[in-house]
This record gives sequence, structure tokens and C-alpha cells, in this order.
Amino acid sequence: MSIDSPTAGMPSADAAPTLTRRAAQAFTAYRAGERDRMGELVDLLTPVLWHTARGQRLDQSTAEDVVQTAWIRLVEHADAIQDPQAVLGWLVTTVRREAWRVLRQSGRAVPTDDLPEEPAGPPAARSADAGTVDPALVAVLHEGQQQLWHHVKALPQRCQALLRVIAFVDRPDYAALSEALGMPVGSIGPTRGRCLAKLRAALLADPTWSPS
Amino acid sequence: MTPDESTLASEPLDALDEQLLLTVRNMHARLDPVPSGLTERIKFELTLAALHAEIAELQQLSPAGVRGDETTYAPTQSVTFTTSRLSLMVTVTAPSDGLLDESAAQGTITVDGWVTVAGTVVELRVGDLSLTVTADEHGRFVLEGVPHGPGRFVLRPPGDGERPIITPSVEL
Repeated sequence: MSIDSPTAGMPSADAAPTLTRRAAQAFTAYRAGERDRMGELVDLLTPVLWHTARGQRLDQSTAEDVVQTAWIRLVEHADAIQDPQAVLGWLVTTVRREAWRVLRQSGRAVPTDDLPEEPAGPPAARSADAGTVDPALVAVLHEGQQQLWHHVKALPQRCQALLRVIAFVDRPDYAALSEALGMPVGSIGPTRGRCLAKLRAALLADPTWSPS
Repeated sequence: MTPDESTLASEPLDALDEQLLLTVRNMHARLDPVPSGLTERIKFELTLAALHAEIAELQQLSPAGVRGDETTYAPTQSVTFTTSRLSLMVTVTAPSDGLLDESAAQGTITVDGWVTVAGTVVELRVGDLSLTVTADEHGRFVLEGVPHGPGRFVLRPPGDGERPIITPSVEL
């Protein structure tokens, strides 16, 4: 009998590599024949993919299917990805395409990347709209998170989707990820970009907001 | 976009931005977490796809006709799986059954098994752990020190070219 842990033998000296780097290491090892490393990749990247799918306004079970499909595509096309560093971007792009395909098939409104930006109403007006607020869900948030939630909800949809995904990756990966999300260059990283600037301006203008 | 926002947008990211994004992350993780079990289901699907495995059918649970409902089989005592090629029967025992000491609380279990094809390589996957044993000439095998949790067996009958067989997940 033998006991194998897939995390055994992972380099630990590497000082806090980014998500992209860690994913590239696992993916490279997987392609070199360490089949166990795919499980590590799934654990690492599924949260980002989940929030990518949900940010496209898919319901829970459709989002699960879409994320699972993206992983199966990765295994099928593992050899076609030239740069292992690109694996996260490849998966995010695949989730977006698959989400788009599913939404179109079901005849639902497809979120596009070039929607005109709606003027963001004051957060108070948005939170008064019962249709966009599930009180049961918001109740699980801390007070500071609730305030943030109202400000995030006031952002244009595409900004909400961008920040939601970006928040789950590391700073050096922002620019590549926003590109994979179909956002124009400069949407975030190395500069703040418009979406984060909007959120920051809204929060700084809110006298009840404190950043801690 | 207001002029203020334009200026803000063209500035480099700073520590406050990092903090904001961390708060955004925590908020989403709390509001809409990755569904429990999703990564395990994905890994299973990928294993199936990679192994081109055949899925065994859960045939029988526990003696005396004690059955769980369709989805929960906890706690498993005795289970039989079948495919056209072989059958697998496993029995789970806790070494410290009945003893409410500390080792029982965090205890592991022993899986005794019998497979109809001698020499089958039996792999048990529980969480991130993988335990492998080869069935003897009578098809018997024992796996000790198995942690509790959902687990599945991957069976590789002797002889090349055979598709592996994978069982549904059972609560151990």
C-alpha cells in the first residue's frame, strides 16, 4: 500500500508566486506526466472560474456546468496551449465563451462587453430597488461589506464582472486577466483603470465608509 | 466619467486598491461561494475523461437490506459494486469501534475487500489521498489507515489494454 499526496514535492522556496505562476507550474508538471497535478490546478483556479461564470449572470447550476465544461476542454486541449503561463487566461476565456453560448442557446439576454455605460445612480436609490437586493443574502455580510456591496452594485455591469474576477487573482495578473475577460487594455493594471476608479471615488465620497 | 475619476483611473494601483479588492473578494466569497463539492465533481469528471473509465454500479448496501436513500450512503458498512467484468465487495470497520476514546474520535478505518478478478490493482481515493493495493490470488485485499470521508475505488484488472473501472463515491 502506498499513500500519495498530490502536494508532496511541491517547491516551497518560491516566495509567494502569483496564481498564474502556481497554475503554470502545476500545468507544466501535469503535461510532463504528473497526472495528479491536475487536481491541484482545479483547486487553485476553480474559484476564479466560478466568479467568472457567475459574473456573466449564470444561475448556479448553469455556472457549475460551464465551469466543468471548461475543465474538460482543458484536458482535451492541454497540448494546444503553448505557454503554461496562459492556462488561467485560457480557462477564463473558455468559461466566458461557454457562458455566452449557453445564454444564447437559452434565448436569454447576453451580457455584452460594449454596452454603453449606464449612469450609476446613487447607491441609496439602487438599494431601494428590491429587485436587485436579496436581504437574506446581504444579511450574511459584515457591515463594511454591506456598504461595499451597495457601491459595487451601483457600478456598470461589466465593471462588476471585471472586479469580481480580478479580486480573486494576484496583482501582476490583472492586466492579462482583464484581457481574457474581453476588457480593453488598461481596464485594470498597471494603472487603476476606470472600474476600480469609479468604485474608489464612490467609496471615498461616502462619509460612512471606512476602509478598514 | 468625471475628471476626478479620469485622474484616479490613470494612477498606479496602490495599497488602498489592494485592500478594496481584498474586501470585494471576501464579499463575493461570502455571498456566492464555490458550491461545496464542485471541485471534487470536476476532478471526478476529469478522471473519467482521462481514464476513459467504466463506471461500476452500486449494487448493494450493508447486510440485512439496510439502505440509505439514493444519494447518501453514510455510514457505509458493506457495499457491493458490479460491472460486466467484475464485482467488488468492501466492508468497512473502525478498529476502535465502540471505544469512545480520543483515537476513535479522529480515527481511521480499515477497508476489507474482495474482487472477483485476482490480481486487480485497487486504488482508493479519499479526498486528496490515494491508497493503492493489489488484490491477492483470491481477490482479497485490505486497506488500513483510511480516513473518513467520501471515497471512490479505481480498479485496474490485470492485463493491458483494459479500461479501468471507477465506482461511485461512497461515504466511508
